[in-house]
Amino acid sequence: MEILSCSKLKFRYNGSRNHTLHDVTFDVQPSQVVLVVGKTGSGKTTLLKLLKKEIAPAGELCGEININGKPQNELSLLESTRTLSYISQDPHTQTVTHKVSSELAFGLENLGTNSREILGRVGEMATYLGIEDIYDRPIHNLSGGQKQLCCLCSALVQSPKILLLDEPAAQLDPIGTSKLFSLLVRLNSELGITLVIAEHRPREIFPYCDKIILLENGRAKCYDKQSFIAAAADDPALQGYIPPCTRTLLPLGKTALYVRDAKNILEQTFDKKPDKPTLVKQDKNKPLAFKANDLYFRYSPNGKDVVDCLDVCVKQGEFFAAVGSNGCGKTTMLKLFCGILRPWQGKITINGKNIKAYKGNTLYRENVAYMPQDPCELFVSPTVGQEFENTCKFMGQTDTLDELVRTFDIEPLLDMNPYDLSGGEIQKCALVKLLLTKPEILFLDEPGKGLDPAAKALLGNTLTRLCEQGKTVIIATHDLDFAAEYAHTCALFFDGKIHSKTVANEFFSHNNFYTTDASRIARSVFPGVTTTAALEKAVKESERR
Amino acid sequence: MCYLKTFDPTVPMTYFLCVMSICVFTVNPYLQVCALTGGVVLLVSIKKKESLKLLAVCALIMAVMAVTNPLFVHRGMTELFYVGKQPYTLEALLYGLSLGCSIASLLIWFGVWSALITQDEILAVFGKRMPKTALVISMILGFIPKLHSKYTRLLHAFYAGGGTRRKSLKRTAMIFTACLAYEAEQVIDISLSMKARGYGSKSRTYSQRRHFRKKDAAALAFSLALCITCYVLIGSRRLDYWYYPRLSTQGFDALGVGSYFLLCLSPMYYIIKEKLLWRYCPAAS
Repeated sequence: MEILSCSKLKFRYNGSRNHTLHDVTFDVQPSQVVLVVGKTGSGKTTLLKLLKKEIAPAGELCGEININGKPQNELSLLESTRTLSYISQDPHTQTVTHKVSSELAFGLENLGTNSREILGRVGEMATYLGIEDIYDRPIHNLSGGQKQLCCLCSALVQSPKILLLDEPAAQLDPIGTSKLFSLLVRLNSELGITLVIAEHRPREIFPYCDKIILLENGRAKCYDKQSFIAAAADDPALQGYIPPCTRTLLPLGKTALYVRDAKNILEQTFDKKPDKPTLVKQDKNKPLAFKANDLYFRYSPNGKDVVDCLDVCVKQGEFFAAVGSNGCGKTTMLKLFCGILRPWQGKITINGKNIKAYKGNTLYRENVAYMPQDPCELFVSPTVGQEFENTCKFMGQTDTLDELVRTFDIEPLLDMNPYDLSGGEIQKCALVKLLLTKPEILFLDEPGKGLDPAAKALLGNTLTRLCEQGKTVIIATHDLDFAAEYAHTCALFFDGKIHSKTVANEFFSHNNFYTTDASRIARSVFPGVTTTAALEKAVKESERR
Repeated sequence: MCYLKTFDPTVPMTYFLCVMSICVFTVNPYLQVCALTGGVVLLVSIKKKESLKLLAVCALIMAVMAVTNPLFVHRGMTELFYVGKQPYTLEALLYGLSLGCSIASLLIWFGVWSALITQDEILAVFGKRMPKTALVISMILGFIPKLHSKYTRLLHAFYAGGGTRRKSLKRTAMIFTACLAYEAEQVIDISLSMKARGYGSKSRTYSQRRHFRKKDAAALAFSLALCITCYVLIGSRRLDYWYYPRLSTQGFDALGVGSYFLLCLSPMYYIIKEKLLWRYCPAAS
């Protein structure tokens, strides 16, 4: 008997004319892993929230949802809590108390469990997930990855039968993402927990999933792995949801779910070339746009230096990406670069001029602009339009606003509250707000976070276009595929320093862990190829030959 | 300070209430000296060099209170000298010193409190009887750093988006409003998350990480016995002391002062015991 089923589910938000979900029908068997994919705004989060009635959004719902053979409406709060747990993409909105220990006990305390049992179950789960070292720490001091693990642990202590996860890896670095998905696979195989995961980058979990639900404009199509791969072969829009190892073999008509298998197939199909990557050369004649020399920064006098003897140069028109693990200090580094934080030692030069020489707000007029991880933070006015007007007033000009609004196609968003926009929309609006200040150098913190493949491609192309116009772009990111695809140069931020800054494909060709799947697959046959698109092209060309 | 932290939180909290309730209301110099000595010894043993700043502030408060009180209060029979036409009396000086001593003792005992009683201990005491109150306190403790961190991030984004760095009420209000609006949205999500995790389905319990044992009962009984002795003696006026018009010749009761002194210094027993244990315990060497 299925553990979860939806039949002809139709949903419309209050005040909205259009349905977010239309006739969604699917069922999930016990212990299955189900992947929900689709563009931003396709209804993934809505669907997941509807499955858990306590957090279901307000609106008109038709159709049937059955949980464990029982209609959802007939489940008591207690039954619902014990059957389903939901983990949102933003752990900030999910943590209730101030410490990890009290957060883990929160759910069981709600169920009236006695103290001894709570401590036993929390201890067991914290040990299983390996989070004993953060057990006594305040939640606000944890990194994004640690918060996500804390949320996962607090959901699991309630021993749910079904775990609903909405983009669980949105806050995590590549290594943290791999660890999280390995853990989820372990939970599924060892405890038999049914997993329903909505994800933009499902490559780690794809090989393990039993069913894929594709949401397009609120309509659902169900696939198993093989039929989804077959559909992706015909529809390029779906290729972003399959792992690079599978995608690159599509032209050959073969299938691999793991990097190892894809690599073997390529090596068997094509001649192994000498291990010498074909590298993209960097233009050495361009002037320097940004230079940081011998930078040191710490948050408190007795604290550790977060930035420690950092040196880096970025040329005009260059797109530079710094990658690194969660909590290593990338955001601090970007804030130092754009003058929000001040180093206690060292010198920063912007367009040949010491950053200290920019008095008042001159630095942020026609020189530098910074986009935080959450672009909403750039908006303090009630509507997007008002925010743009304020920025224009500050800059003393309005001539570029209309042109930028047209270019980025955001006119319908002007009257909306920034917090009501989707991830892709707010990114575009934030970029327009920054471009209104006519910056020469753009600093962006995690620019592709939470975006679907199409929105990410749009952002990447926009940034590339800005570089072609002579602007310099410096980003800090976890998204290695995005960095490999669009950045000209890359470096690893580690131990407070920028290490081995080099052209992107050289960087990814030499790394083993901080690299793309495409690079891992290609390095023995097509050395120097580091992006999935380039690898697909190389495979197609070789096949043709 | 591990040993003192092994007690059920009710014990240290009751202990502090006993010490501070006497220290706040008495003007008896013998009791005040006990409170001050006990507080200083404990603070230095627990916080070591970190305590020096607080001790310096306390010494300054005592000196200022002692010197300034006779300038405003001219009661007392022992005139030391005249300031203008007003007498500067020994009684007023000592009364000022006594007031300063009370304030300094309180500050020092709060310093000891903060070193020994964490938010978790307070929550544990509330949690047993009032689990919902404990949850509210815990949520507030989590909300304040979240709000602070959000405000800082919005301010940084405001600078970088071209906003002015000049501090003004308008700017602060604008950012704070945006910050509150954001947090208000988050609060809705948090309340949904609470409901999704079963909040309201049954009456709440509270997970206790420590339990009341025999040693807690013994320590609690010891503190209460000494405190009650002091209160009985204060109630029977054997610890009364006055400064005006002349300094009192009474106020010293060996049992009362001895009990309070023992009360103030009783945690030292555990501190010394722990130090000896570490020195002579094979595991520590």
